[in-house]
Amino acid sequence: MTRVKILACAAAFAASLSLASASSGDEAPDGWVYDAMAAPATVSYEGVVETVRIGNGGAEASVYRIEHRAPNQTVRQYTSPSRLAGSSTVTKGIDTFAIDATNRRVVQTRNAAINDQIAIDNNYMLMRRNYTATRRGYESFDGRDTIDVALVNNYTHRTTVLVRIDRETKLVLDRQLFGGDGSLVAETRFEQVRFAPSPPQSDFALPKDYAIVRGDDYGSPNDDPKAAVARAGFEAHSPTFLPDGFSPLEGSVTDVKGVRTLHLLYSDGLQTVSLFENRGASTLDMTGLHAQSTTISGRDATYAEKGPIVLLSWSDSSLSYELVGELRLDELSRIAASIAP
Amino acid sequence: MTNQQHPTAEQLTDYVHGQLEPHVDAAIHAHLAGCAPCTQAHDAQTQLSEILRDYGRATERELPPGFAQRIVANAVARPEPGWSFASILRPAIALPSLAAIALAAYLGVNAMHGGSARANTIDAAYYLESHAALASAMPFDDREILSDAR
Repeated sequence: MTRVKILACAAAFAASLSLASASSGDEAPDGWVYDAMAAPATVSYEGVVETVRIGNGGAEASVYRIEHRAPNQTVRQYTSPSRLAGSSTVTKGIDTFAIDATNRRVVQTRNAAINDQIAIDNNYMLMRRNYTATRRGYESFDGRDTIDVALVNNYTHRTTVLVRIDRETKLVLDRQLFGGDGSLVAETRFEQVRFAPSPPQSDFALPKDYAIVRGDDYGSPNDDPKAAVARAGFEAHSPTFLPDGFSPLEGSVTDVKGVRTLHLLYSDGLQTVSLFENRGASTLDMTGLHAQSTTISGRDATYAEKGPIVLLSWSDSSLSYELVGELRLDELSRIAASIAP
Repeated sequence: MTNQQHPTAEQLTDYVHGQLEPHVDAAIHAHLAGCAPCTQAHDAQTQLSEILRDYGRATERELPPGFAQRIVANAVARPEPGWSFASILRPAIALPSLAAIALAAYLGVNAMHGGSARANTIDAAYYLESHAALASAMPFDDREILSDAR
């Protein structure tokens, strides 16, 4: 299905969901999920966020104070980990400004995917196709009444995401992400939440005497996967196996240090896998990661974990490949083995 | 450069002294947050700069009255000297030169972890960050790629 077709379906479905939510009271899990996704565009708030991402090789955690002004301005002030403590970021739409007080400058980074409504709608429709929203109950979270909704994978019948949604504002106050084996791989908790009618614009202002320098751009330009493959400039290879529910979603071709690289994104609506392919004598630098050896169809391969994200790298006679995703190594290895040269 | 490439020793030196183009400066800034060896090289460069600066301050002397004028007068009056190999062995030239060579070697060794700045070497962080950026359009995704990139 093309991006445009999915977009039309998403728009029609969103309209029907809104109507259903309005007419059937407030207990339909699908309606809560849709409202929760849309809430940050209309609700301003502040509080403290704690995140943890758990991998086999270790976990990553962060704590930051957050202030959000609807629809799209957010300030995060980090208190942990120590390497980030005292630093802050200001997000305005697709631009995020990292404030570097030590060097008195602001680094601007752009991620077009944040505002790519086509991609967002595509993902939502995929999630609806592959997951069933199930109400798990009601409880009080940090003193606020919530409804708990699980997104259960239609193929494995396991819960992949559990969200606790504030009944008054529809904001997600707690999100848990589970791996394919049912283990918790990530959690985001939003505590000490207060809802401000509209935080002052000055809270989102950048320091006036700091220089603004431009960092990397991410997430653009994206394309239909087939169009990206056609533009790659080499004979790209696609996997013949994907986990149930996964399908190709986005594609792009970029020049990475002089190496033309094809990036394909596969998703089931909640989980994602990226496949990077490039031709030439490129070498992967895994400095800072704990690289380990494995094999893919008899070929030497290397993998490393960063929290719950696994990176798997190998080459054949013509191309170098990297698979990145929040799947288990054995799942990524099976995808990799299906990519025949 | 982009933040998936290791900076060269020269770029790190210019970075410490704020002499890079804004986009290169930003890329190195982002790279340092995720690369321990480059951060070590950066810290060493910073420390060395401070040591040299402190040394300069500590040994600063007032020039005697008329010293500068005498140098100018001598330079105008004397003929152009010919270059000789022995001239590089004079302490005034040899010591700073040795210091520069040692500094370059020191920074070079520190910056060349696993082939720093090799052609066609792609940092694994590039793949992780690009994946995270596209995945940020997922429902309920809240990963902070920028906190990792800094």
